Amino acid sequence: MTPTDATGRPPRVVVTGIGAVSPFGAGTCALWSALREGKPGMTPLELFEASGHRTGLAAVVPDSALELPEELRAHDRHLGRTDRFALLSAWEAWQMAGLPTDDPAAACWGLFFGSSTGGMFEGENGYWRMQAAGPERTHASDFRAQPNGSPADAVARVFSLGGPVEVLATACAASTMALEAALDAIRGGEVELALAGGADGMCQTTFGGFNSLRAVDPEPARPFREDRVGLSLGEGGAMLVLETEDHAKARGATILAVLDGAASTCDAHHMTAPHPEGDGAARAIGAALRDADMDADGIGFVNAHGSGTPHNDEAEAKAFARVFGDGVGALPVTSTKGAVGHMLGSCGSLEAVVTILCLRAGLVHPTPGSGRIDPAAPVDLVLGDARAVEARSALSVNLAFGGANAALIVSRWDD
Amino acid sequence: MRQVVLTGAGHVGPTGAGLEGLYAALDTASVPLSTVPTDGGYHKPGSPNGALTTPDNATKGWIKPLIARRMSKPSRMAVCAARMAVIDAGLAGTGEAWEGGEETATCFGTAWGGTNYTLRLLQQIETKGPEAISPFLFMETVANASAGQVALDLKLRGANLTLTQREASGVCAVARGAALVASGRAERVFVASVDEISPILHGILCRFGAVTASERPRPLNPGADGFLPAEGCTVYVLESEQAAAARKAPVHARIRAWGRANDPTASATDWGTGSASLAAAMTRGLERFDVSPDSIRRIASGACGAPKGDRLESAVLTQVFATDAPPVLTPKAQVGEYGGGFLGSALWALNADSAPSELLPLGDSLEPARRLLVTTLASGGPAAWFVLEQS
Repeated sequence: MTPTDATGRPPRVVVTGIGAVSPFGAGTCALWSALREGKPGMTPLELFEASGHRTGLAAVVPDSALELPEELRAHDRHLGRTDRFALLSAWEAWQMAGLPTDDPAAACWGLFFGSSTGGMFEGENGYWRMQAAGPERTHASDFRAQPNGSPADAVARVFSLGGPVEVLATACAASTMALEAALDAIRGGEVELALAGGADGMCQTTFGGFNSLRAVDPEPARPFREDRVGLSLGEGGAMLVLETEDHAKARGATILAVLDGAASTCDAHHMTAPHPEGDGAARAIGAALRDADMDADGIGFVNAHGSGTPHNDEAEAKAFARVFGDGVGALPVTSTKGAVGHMLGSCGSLEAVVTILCLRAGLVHPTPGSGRIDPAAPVDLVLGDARAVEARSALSVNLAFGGANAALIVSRWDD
Repeated sequence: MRQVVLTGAGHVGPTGAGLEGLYAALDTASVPLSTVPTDGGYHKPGSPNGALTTPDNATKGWIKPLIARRMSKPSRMAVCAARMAVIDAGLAGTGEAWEGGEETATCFGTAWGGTNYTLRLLQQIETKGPEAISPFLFMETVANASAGQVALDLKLRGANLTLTQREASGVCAVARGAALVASGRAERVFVASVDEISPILHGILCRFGAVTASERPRPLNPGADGFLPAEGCTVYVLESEQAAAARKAPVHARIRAWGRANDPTASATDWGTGSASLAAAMTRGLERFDVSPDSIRRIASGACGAPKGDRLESAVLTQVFATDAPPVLTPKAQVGEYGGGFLGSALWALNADSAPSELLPLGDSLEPARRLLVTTLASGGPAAWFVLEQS
């Protein structure tokens, strides 16, 4: 059942399209431009009342970025914010991959999607309206966009995807796992092509929740710095088009990168805190390397989870040390979350997109800000200017509530 | 590709803890109906109030009170059902400690997650201000809380996934869990379906006209007017055949095939009309595993009483099985929609010699069957199925 190439290995899975919606606006160009400059995207939160919280900052997608292109306007009604993040990033990836919107083959193509809260923002607003107006004057449509799978359903509907649709809600590792799911589905012959990624929007439940955990920084997050006190929340979406190398070549697509490997694990240690020695994260990275049939020294840089919480960054640095040994000191590390905030279920796919942009540019984007690296989390964090690298492959890691860890190995397309 | 077997199961639901209670209710077609309060400001006047809820004491004796207090209801049900599944799979005896380790993964499906805790968190914001939010509540609002709690409890250190695909969540979890074992990503997977029914969720479902006004839903019946929301959890232990054989595990059934598809004609809140595309996907999906529709002699349909969903399900099955349709069981007439009832009833449906007429809406009579197709379609478009085969 599993297709193999002439060497007996499963088919190589390549990336032919990428798309993103971030606090810097719609599109990967806006994202890359801001990342290269080391700009932080955090601003005072105005989506809802945030006074009374530990922080009033968040990295929010500007409303100007939410308008759908002409081709998608027919689907504009009843969409939630997160639905729009998903659709806009999928549209960019689809266009970049050179895929038509009416390809009958889409009936067999899949969607693998990560989101931790889906349309919770709309669900909360429905709840507030219900409280204000009373049950008799509340409409079902107020809750229409609320289900966690709503953004994925919107993408599948608009792109007429009839193959497997998988919605992962494994908190902050959700879209990293979605890429792993797509990789497995393509390798296993379930689909030849898939959209994979995720989207998540800001809502009071998560904003209030992370504040209650005292896991947020009142200032923009400072991942791996000695004075860090927490993360900054963000929102957005990112999608990738994945397909077999043969399929991409047969249709003349431009190949952007290779998704070489992926793996996930669980700490089984604590519901919200990472394993203090980075055990699960190290196992996920090790398994992803084995999945990619690659040694640790094949990795040229790391896009870390790098949330900026004291516990996370220290545990993650220990995981890197366990996997890369003495080589960790010379391994450039960046934290995209330091720029776009923690995009929760969508951070994994956004960071995968960023990793591809870095590989293609031969540059690792800087983590915004300055400051001394924490001796307890000793990584070679790229600060200041983007750093030129000769990396063929890179690692992207994400860790989540519930002890979930996920890692991806992405490589430059050199053929 | 490795063969996948089902070696253990556990269940907590409206009939209490254990599959025996669920099976007894299925045998006799008795619905343990309860009601949801409709005066909390979430329902319109005159809304239906029926539901299948899990008694609060159902998990008593399975989890220490001190630990249970730190969990939402879905997490409590999940941990309880997972501990039962450990015993049923022969991984440990009653009261014995067991750790799943690195080779054991978790793959849960939940349509709605912990809605009671999310509501309580919003109420805290509303009444006490944001600074009063309980971090303990927040931790259990995330959809993957149940899977995380089970992994923590049983030290399951393999992959930990949570899928949210509305009515198809549990069957999707089985399909993905089976794929994890088959591909070698895990030696063993705890797959589950878990949900709770909070008053606000019930009220919203009523607003969409999804909930039946009857005491029993009538799937695949022309008079169907909606489904009965249910809560509970069923956990399966799936393993590679080699791993099960190595430890001489009891094999309840083989997962012979699985698949997923999507109906892009579905609206955001209802089932679609794309039966031809779904039927083609299911046929292709069965072919991938060399399973001919002719070899399937019994179906556990996910038809739940939602008129549009049932019409779609009926059309899909008609196209896949043409004129030789096997007997169709509709367990959701008994166990309702969501929760673990449907997965729990699948094992019963594979082995039952007879079934009450309420669960055979097309008037079929059961004949011996080695293979059972378990299928479900969801509002919004997801579809999933798996084939259970007697061991």
